[in-house]
Amino acid sequence: MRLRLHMWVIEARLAGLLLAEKALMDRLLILTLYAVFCLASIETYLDGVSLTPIAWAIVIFAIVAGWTAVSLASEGPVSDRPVALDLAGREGLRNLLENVGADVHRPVPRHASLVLSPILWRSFGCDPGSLRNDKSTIGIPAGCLMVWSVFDFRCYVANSLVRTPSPRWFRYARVALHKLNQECFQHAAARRTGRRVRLAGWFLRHHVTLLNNWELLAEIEADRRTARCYGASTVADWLQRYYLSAISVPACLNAIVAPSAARGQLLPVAESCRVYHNLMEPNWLTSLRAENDQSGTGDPKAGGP
Amino acid sequence: MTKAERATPKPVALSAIAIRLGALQNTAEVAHANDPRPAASLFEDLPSLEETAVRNELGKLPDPFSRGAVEDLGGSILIPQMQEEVARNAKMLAGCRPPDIPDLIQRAPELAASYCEDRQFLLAPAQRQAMIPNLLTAFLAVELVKENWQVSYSVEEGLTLRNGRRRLNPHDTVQRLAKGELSRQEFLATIAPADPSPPAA
Repeated sequence: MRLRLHMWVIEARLAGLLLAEKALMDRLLILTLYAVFCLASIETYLDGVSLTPIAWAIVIFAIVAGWTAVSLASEGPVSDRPVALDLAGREGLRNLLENVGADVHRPVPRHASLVLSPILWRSFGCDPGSLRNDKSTIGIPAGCLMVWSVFDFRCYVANSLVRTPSPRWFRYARVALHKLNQECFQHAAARRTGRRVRLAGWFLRHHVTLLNNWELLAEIEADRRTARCYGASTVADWLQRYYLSAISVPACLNAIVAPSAARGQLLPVAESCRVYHNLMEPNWLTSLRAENDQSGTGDPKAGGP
Repeated sequence: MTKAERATPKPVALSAIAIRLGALQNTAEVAHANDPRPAASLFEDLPSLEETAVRNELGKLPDPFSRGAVEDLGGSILIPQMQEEVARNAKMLAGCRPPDIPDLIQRAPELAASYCEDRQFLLAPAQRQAMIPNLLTAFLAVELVKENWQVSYSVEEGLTLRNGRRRLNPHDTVQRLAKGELSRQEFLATIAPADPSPPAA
């Protein structure tokens, strides 16, 4: 419950930040309110007190706010659509999805999408993160299929099913984040300074922090729910492999698979990613254990994968 | 440091994975049958699925395309890429030979001004300068291949060139040269032509 409370607090802060950012950075809403207020003042001065200008002010403000919301929704970051994977004829996969759905008491995803990496690995590419909010579709990262065991895959599916999807209005925050990021990049490239540059940087940092904190709390909540079904050490094992594969698979795709594909040669994706993953694993686990020792939290599974 | 400060350690900024692992600590342990088979065993048609995903996300595979192994990466992918990089900058490297690389690497800021990057990139001056060691790596590899050094690739070692018993990783060699970890003499000894085999008695 405390976790959920923290998530609500973050949502409220994010909503406030979004409104403040729109008001201070775009100034459209503030200017509209100001213009309506001036009109209302003139009418009040000429004709005495009347509620009509206030009603008009509310209507105009609502129209501008609605228009801003629609324009924000159409300005999000662009990404490719993942390939739909037909579940018909894949008895093994369907059985696994049904079993996991029964284990965690959640509806079974009706669709599956095929992606190469568990996270976004190239600009404008497929964004597997967006699939995490779609409960009817499960994303299958091809690059992880030789790294994860079948049981790791169960943990991944269970975690996806029990994770609280982010509120729909978060897409406005993501669009604002995307635009702020672009603006900050332009300022940095032109070496601009000034109040607007500082303000954009401040809003960008706070958007990133709040969105990341919310995502982290949602993941912790999902981990605990998954661990209640499959055990903490099993989920900890999978988590370590999941995090490292989110580094190793994009690295392998960029270093090996993409250059080969550009020259018309297809390398075995899952196998290449497995070799890359195994190469990075010892150092990564050592640094993770050092971090756990330093913080004194320890590792639920001391042995590691 | 006071006694109170020693008693309360400074909070450590943890990564997300460490926080998530820490949050699992108080969760009850549940026994569940494990299945250690790779998740790929759920997909009988993995090669065709990989092909579909690569086509969707990269869209660069010609029809028909060839299937390769990771070991083929050096000769069939990396060396041709390096040849293109060197050809783009042929004007800058005109008249240069591999023994000139220690001098060229010292002139990186000057070379960056005339560096021709791949058309898909638009690099800032600092990024262009950072590309010079890569260009010199490509130049070294291409020139050594011309001198019949053999190319191999493994994920563990990366691109490796072999000539008899001598072997070098061109990327590693140029990086060590740039950092001053490899002297000019050591570099020249590494790339010197192999000694002619002793005449038969």
